[in-house]
Amino acid sequence: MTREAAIRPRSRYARLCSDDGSALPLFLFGFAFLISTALVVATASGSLLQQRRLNGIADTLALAGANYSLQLLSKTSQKGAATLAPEPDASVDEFMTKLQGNLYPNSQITIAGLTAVDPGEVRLRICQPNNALFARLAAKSEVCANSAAKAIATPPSVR
Amino acid sequence: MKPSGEKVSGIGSAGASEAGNIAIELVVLGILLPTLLVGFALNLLSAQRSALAAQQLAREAVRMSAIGMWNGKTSELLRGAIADDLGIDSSDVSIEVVQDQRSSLTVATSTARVNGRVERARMVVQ
Repeated sequence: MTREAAIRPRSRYARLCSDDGSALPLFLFGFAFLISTALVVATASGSLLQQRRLNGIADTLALAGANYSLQLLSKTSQKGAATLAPEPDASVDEFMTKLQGNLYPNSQITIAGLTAVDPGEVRLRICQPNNALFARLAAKSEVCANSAAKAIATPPSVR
Repeated sequence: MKPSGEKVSGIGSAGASEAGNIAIELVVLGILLPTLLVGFALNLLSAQRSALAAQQLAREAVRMSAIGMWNGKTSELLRGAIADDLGIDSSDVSIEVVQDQRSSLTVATSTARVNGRVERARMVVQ
């Protein structure tokens, strides 16, 4: 065999079928894949945790808001201030904003949507910047949670 | 004797060539590092699981406290249930609920600790 024939490039098929070559790129790729997968799973898990935490906060705020809304209604029918209000004549919106600041200071939670459907019924959406690992790199990534609550007036006989 | 100018050793040539022991690559990059990484990931997931359990415990406790159903027996039941779910000793699970006055509101705050992970929940007492 001549020297020219020996160094002639092999066809792509022949290269794929042979075992020649370093396994290092394969290992490095696998390692990088494992690291990125672990980071993605950690980020997703952190976001889920934050979302569940926000769900609890949304439930708390919605329940208190619904209760306050019902008290406002009873205040108009009976004389007397709503006992939950930080200020006697605060609206449901003002009450919720103050309550959120009071219960969760410095949490960067914002009330993205608040609907007082009927007296005693509140629908709420709150958001918070996503503090998971990868999500901080994104320009604007938020975790949000919705909740709805309806307060039921207790009959005087069971109070 | 090798021809002059042809080197077969040295860091540069070894890095560029495909010569070497595949066993070292296999053990270090194929087994050791992935094992460490999987161990790290499992540890992380275990911590997240504990955090989720702590969060659930804190939420349940604060809800029961807000409606006046929180007592020592309930606390023991919840702690036992969480410990059974996670397969850990109930001494690794603790829960504390306090009620305090904030302006005109009575607020219940629960602090749950599961395997060292601490979560808090708050609720206005009805």
